Amino acid sequence: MNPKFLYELQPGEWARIINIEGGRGFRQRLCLRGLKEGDTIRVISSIQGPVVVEANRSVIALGRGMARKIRIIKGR
Amino acid sequence: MKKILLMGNPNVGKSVFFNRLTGANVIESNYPGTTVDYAKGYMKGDSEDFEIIDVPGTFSLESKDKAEEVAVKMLEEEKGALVICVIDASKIERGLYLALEIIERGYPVVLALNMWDVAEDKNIQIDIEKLKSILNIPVVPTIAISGKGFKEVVLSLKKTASVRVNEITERVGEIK
Repeated sequence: MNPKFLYELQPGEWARIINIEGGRGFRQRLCLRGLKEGDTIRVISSIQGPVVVEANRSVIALGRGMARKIRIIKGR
Repeated sequence: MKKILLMGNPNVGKSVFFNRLTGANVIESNYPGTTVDYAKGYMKGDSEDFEIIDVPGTFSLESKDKAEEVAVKMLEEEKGALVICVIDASKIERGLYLALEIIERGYPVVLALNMWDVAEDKNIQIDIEKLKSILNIPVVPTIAISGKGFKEVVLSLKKTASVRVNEITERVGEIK
């Protein structure tokens, strides 16, 4: 259960965001789209292209670069 | 003629709102970022006519892409315009951020809680009266695709005035 990054998850897996490694602007941008630290998310697609996750009843697509900055732990 | 700006997050139904109010036929679709440029239309109120501008969706007033830039520029150009802030009632906390930013800049705002039926389906309850008394602006639940609540939106355009943000924060403090 080591902390991983969001892009390493497989579709269908659940995880909790523990850290967003970025500046204020990046955090704000994610927060306004419904992703913040402590949220539980479900990965919809992550094999190739953007990483699509479901969080707080909405679906968000992230670029792989963004997904690389989001630290998570697996499980609900 | 008074100008009305339709602002809100992407994919909350601003264009459907616009089409309803003006009878125009701009493209609407079920994904964010459909409107990248603005559209203008006209509406007859009971005593005066309004010019309505459909603005691209934006998350905040610090623009991060081209469509958001258009939105922020529109808002800055139209000093003295009314703003109908359209919010997705099922994702209300995100829309309120933008609404507060617009209020902070001194625009008179009418808050439209769109997709009210979706929020009801998801069992989300919103205390409209409380929201009204905190923000001191008209708050109207609407369903843009069926036309519910539009009469109230148009009627409340007259009642709205600009509110100071520090008054709102004071009222929020009182609740705690």
